[in-house]
Amino acid sequence: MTTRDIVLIALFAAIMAVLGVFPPITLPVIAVPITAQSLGVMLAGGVLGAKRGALSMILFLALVAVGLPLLSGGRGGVGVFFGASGGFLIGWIVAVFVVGLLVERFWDNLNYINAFIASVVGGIVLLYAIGIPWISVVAGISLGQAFTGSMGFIPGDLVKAVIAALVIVTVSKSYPIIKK
Amino acid sequence: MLISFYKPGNSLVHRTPAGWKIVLLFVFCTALFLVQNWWFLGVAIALVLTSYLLAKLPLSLTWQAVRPALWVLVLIFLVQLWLNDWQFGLYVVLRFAIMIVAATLLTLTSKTSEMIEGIERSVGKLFGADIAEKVGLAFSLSLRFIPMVRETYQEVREAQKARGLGRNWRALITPTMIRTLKSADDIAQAIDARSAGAPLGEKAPRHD
Repeated sequence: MTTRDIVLIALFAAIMAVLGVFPPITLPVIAVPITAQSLGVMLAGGVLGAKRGALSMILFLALVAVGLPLLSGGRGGVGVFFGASGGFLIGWIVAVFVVGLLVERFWDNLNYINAFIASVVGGIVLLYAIGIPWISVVAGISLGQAFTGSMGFIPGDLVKAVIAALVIVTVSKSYPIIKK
Repeated sequence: MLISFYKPGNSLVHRTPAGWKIVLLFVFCTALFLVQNWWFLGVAIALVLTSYLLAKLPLSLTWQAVRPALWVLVLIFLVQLWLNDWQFGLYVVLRFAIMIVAATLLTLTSKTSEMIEGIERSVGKLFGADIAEKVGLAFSLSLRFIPMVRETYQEVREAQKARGLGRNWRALITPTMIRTLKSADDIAQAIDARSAGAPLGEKAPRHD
């Protein structure tokens, strides 16, 4: 772990914090507002790679846990980890790692398609696989019901995966971090 | 800039080390899931509210803690009403709420800086002083980077607004990211040039 790795990890934790104050966008068809912070989860893996990405997410969540209001909507403190979305927050670490792993695998011929696939597999499929059982336990409902309840967020997440793929590929060309 | 939720005080709750409070919180929440009866939940609620009073915090703060999760709680109650009955719905919602309120008490009574120091100390005990130093560096750098990234983002946003792209996420994120990545590399070189993190004895002589 070089000094550069540590600086990049710290930088991405800060980028996550700033994504929390991005203007949320609302999709025309469904009324669920989508926030930029979970986009940062796909970006952290795609830009920094698996290991540094996951460490930056741990650092960011640690900053939230010690009481800084860095989650979108100004939420923070240990309480958020006990909320309904607590599973998703913990899941961010695994999601980043997997997005990073896939982007590293695709690196030599990275394009919009495989960057999108990496973002969807890590940032949506895997993330929900961790978040949904958590909701089901905390809320005392079945897995199926928790799954149905979370479906409203999928269209927004797909939009994020598209944006993430565009940003990951652009950054990989103009300022590559994973392999120089 | 960054304002934490800490409410200063000198009560027993404030003076208990953050590490202990984290352990207690963990035990508290695990117990709530293991023991499922009204009597136990009642004791738990009384315990948490007493701790708020002991910390000389107004009980209205408990409401503020629950409020962001309110719609989720209502939703859970409605689902339980439909699946089971209102008693179980109320039980699940109350258990949920009291865990959030208990966790918020930890945040309200522990200084951010003390908690970060606590993390560094625990990391030092578990993985050695070398790793702890790196963790400490990462924490302080990230706190310094938040205003830096925010500033870069504001500049990028002004520029993109002029082009009519003020709400285009891609147009906002890509330049912000590339510019901050470049500064990160400069900062890394500056830190290395001052031999921070080098093993003791290999540090460059200071000329100050």
